[in-house]
Amino acid sequence: MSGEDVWIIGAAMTKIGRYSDRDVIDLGSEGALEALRDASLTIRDIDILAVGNACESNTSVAQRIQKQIGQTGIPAYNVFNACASGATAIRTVIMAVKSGEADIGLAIGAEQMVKTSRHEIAGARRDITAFTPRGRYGPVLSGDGMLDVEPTPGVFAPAAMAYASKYGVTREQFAMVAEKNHRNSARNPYAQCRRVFSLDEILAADDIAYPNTVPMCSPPGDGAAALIIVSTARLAGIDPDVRRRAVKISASVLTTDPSTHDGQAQPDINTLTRQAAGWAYELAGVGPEDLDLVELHDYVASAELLHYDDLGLCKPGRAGELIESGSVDRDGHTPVNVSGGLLSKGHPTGATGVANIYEIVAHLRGEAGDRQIDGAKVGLAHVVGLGSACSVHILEKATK
Amino acid sequence: MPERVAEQHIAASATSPEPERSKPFTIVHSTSAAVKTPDVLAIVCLDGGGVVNARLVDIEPDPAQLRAHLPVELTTWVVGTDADGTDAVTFGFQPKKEGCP
Repeated sequence: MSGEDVWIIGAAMTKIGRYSDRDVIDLGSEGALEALRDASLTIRDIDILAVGNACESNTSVAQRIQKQIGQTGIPAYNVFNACASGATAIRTVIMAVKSGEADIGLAIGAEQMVKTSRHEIAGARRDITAFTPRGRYGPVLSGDGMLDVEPTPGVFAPAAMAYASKYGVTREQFAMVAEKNHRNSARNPYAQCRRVFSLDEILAADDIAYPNTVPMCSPPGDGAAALIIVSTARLAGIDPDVRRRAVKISASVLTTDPSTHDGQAQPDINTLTRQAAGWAYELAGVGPEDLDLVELHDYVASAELLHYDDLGLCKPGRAGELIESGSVDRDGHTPVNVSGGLLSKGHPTGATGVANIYEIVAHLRGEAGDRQIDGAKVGLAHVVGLGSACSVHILEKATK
Repeated sequence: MPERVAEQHIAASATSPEPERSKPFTIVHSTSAAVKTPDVLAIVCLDGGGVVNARLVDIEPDPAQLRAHLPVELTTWVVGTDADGTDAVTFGFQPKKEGCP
């Protein structure tokens, strides 16, 4: 990373779940106040705020959270980048700190997911009584003729099938990802779903979009996570007990889709991750073999296998063999999604990119409880927001 | 009353002399639209360049029988009809039939 290093000195997340009695402001405020407490700071110490959110991103979530945690007049940024919103909020704060404009920043990801079920949406479609042409081409339904081909499981599934047909990955290998992540979630008190599933149960469950069944898809959950980020100069003046637990941000990268042939049909979820990973490894001066743990964007189980390949965790085309080898299990060489991943930890869209980094920070500090990866020194967090945006962060334990 | 068909933008050309080919697919079991499930969603490579994400119609949603590189051709179908009898038409691809151009 060019310029001075930046550090995480406070990190917190709420348990992810379905909070019918709380809103995005309650959740975001809880995460923010916990992160401030973790860093032994108050909102008066913060120079900049950025909040990642998806469902309410046009409602000034950052300013509404300020009304709960303290309106100090600092610049606040409302960040939307689909599933990468939280990670992009972190990057916004990092850029402000690296530029010298701020010494300490607060990044929050917070989400209260829409409660409308897909059955209600389908009912609304059926209730249309008059088709009226709209817009440039005059369609009477949204989707420009491509009726309902855009929901996310329908993007990650064909992408996985392309990989499977090219390299011979089996449906069982895709399901093994879900088996692993659900097994891991049993150790994570922050996870929405902590139930362990057998491989047979996963394969026999209802299909959502082939090859993914229900336990192979991430549940929508509500929750928040927050980080306090400081410059190297400011770190020196921080409470020594807090400084001792600081985690270095060795790389922070954000990419979008370069133009690719298949990108005309649907987001190309591979190329932007490959580019982000390549840049992040170069900036951090580490390689995939150096990673002690990885939190990646398992929106559906089949996506995780593609990300193994794109992040360089296996040789090209060998992702199916990697999951079978046990190397990505929590006792393997490169544990992946020891938090339970999105599949069981839950996926509050705007919070996910911050929660992934919270998980890495907890392990690098040696504070991850039952799920701790012993001796973890280097970790990578990855998210993909369809549209698309990919963020990769590499974090390292402080050496002194 | 005569039936009126509302225009829908169709992103694929039907004039290609060669059959389009489907690449990766998925079978969708749950969707927000008023379409019957399970149905097959595929990335279709158009002859002469371009790719499009669309439904495959007139095909068995059986993963054991579906395969990549299946030759397909453009077709249209009615998604729904409003109170005035206006149809909403969308496009899809069906397995290539012998004898079609």
